[in-house]
Amino acid sequence: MDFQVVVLAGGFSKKLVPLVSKEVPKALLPVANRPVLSYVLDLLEQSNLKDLIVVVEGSDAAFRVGGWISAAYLDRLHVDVAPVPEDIGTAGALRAISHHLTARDILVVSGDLVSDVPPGAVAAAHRRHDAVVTATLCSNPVSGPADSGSSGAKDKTKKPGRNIIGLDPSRQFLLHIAAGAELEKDLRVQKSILRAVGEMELRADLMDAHLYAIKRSVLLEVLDQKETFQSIKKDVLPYLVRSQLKSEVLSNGAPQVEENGNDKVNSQSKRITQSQILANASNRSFHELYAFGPDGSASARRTHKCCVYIANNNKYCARLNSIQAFSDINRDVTGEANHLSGYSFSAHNNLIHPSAELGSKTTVGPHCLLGEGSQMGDKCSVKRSVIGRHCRIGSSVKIVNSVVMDHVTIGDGCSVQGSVVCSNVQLQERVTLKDCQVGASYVVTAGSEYRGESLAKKEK
Amino acid sequence: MHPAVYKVGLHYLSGDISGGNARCIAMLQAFQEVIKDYSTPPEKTLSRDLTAKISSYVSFFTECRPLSVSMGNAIRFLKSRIAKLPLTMSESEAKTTLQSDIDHFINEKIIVADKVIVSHAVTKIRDGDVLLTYGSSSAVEMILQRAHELGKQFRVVLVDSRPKLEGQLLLRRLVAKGISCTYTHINAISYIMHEATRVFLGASAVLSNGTVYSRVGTACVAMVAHAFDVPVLVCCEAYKFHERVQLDSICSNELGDPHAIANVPGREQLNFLDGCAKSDNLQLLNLIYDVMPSDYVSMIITDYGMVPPTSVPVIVREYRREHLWM
Repeated sequence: MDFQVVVLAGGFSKKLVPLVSKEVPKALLPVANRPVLSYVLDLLEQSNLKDLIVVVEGSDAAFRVGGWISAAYLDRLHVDVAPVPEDIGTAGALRAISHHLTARDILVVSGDLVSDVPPGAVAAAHRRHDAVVTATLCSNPVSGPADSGSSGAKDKTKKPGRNIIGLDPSRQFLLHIAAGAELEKDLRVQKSILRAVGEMELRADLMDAHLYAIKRSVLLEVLDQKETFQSIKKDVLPYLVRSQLKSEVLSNGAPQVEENGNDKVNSQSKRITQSQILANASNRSFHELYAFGPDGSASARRTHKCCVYIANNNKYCARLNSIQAFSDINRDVTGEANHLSGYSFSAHNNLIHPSAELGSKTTVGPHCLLGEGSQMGDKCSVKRSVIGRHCRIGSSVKIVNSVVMDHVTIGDGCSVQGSVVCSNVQLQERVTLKDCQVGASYVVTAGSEYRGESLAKKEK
Repeated sequence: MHPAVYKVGLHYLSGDISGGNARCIAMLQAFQEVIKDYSTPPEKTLSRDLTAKISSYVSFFTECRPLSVSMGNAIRFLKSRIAKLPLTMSESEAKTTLQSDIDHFINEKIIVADKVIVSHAVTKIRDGDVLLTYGSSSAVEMILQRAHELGKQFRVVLVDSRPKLEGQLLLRRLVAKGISCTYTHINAISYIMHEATRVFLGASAVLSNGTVYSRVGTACVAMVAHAFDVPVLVCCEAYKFHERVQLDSICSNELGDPHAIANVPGREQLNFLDGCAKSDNLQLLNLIYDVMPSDYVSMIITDYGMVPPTSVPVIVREYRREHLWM
């Protein structure tokens, strides 16, 4: 359908240390025992968008991501993995691969999105109005108990992902967008936009899902002209929204008249009548009304449209951009949104792999996932947690509200609560972890108790 | 799925484009784009493959919104032109021929036809007339604008109805031109009819027994006009004539959105029909079209002249052949 998809899979996010490491770039972080990138790729595959470009920061990470994708999606999708230098921002990443972009419209998806919003509906909204950019918005996900760990205390005032969005009365067009740091200052609204529309609805309860449909010619023009733009969300999108009635990016509006010599006058009047009939019969958006001026004559004002697609309340949409979000998404995908995980849950509402072994008197509660080859000792109790593959868990272990990744060894008598334990970690006996994050290949000595800490191996 | 076809289909689905002429022109322009980007696959003939493609797009349009008679006739024309292409013609020649055929169709059957209708109809408008019209018809709008340009002194009564309230846009354009207008809703038609001297109505189609198939409410206006002995002139291009016969509005119609009847925009307290969708024994019926019997129509103004409704089957029979062999 003439859409090219670009998945921005990031690299090593600093916010997710110690979960990410050299071996595990952000795109391959497991959510419910599947890499988070697989959710985006499955969603695209279901919508029949099979030609993708996956952009990864850092050639090392790109190599790993490429390896995993070619193993997992061999015949199902056609994926080009493009490595870009680190820390150049989303707009910079698009600039780097701009020569690969050929289709008329580009669908830019963030690789850390876990959602079932149909990209086809976003594409339809984009095409219907011939928009320059269409953003996807959904209602804010409910987040779990705030991380009382080290990261939580510092940014208590900032809730991640808060935006102020201005919409027109029909909720199709985006009039204003402000996010992040701009929220602290005053809200500045373009007067020309407000006057053209008449009524604007300001909402603070919508989250940007980072699924954008952008017209390719406009995207390339903006990236060329504005060298300093680093981020789509912070720079490109607000720029396009602000300048929608004073467009400098498109030549649209007045219909082109052919230079045809002697028939010029006739054909001109024919085309004018034709376009008049069409224009009179269609619902005009405020852009066209503005462009045509108050007296109905076609003036030289050029406008472009920024549309918005608001996802239904029953669609799940979340982004993996913090440790809190990681725990929340794991909880949701095994809980309410378990249709996303692609597994079928048993009667007890949990999923225990057939090759997993449970000791005697071990209970696994609902909303849990137990990966293949894992072994649990006696008298263990697992509640609302995700346990990866090939784990060796001793006896009398309590795991509550946590995520345990692959190849983890947990000694007897441990208690893991609200924590994230990465791969290849060894927890010796009687360790108590509460709200901690343990980085990969770390060894937690016996009998230690940690609360709200982030433990990681020292990089040499 | 060609992007131009997809876009036009979305416009139909959302109601962004409405009105027989506009929908037909939009569809034909989308087909011109399709033909421009078309290339024959190997081992296939252009005429058969292109016809199959056009048929698939037509079924897409039907899914978005049922086809109007004007669109149906245009599609029949296009398919007959594709079938008539000589096999010896090269692909690029065939494409340019088809595109210019579509251009000619739009020009002759819609644009020039409208000009002819306007020139006939303004002879029927005298100074001091009060012209009544219903809803928003592109042909009637052109007539009123032309008569105003010629300097005739008349005023317009514009009758409108829920749920679409299509007359409001027409009202703005007429007032902007300087025509003095009166705006009312269809519930007041019998009060306002005694002022009117002529009634001009548009049509979506005219059927073989002289019945006029038009926006819901038009039949009501024509009936009241007939009761008050006000002449009713229906303005319709000849490409909207159809050889089928329909006796009432129920046997073939289009259903609109039922919730549009239940909501009154701007007056949220009138919500008596809220929650009606959940009730099993209540169905809200929102018909889009209705049928006006030929007794109520005094004259039909077409590009073949001003004819009584009984001449419609003659035009369909005689001129359809010429149109197909053009």
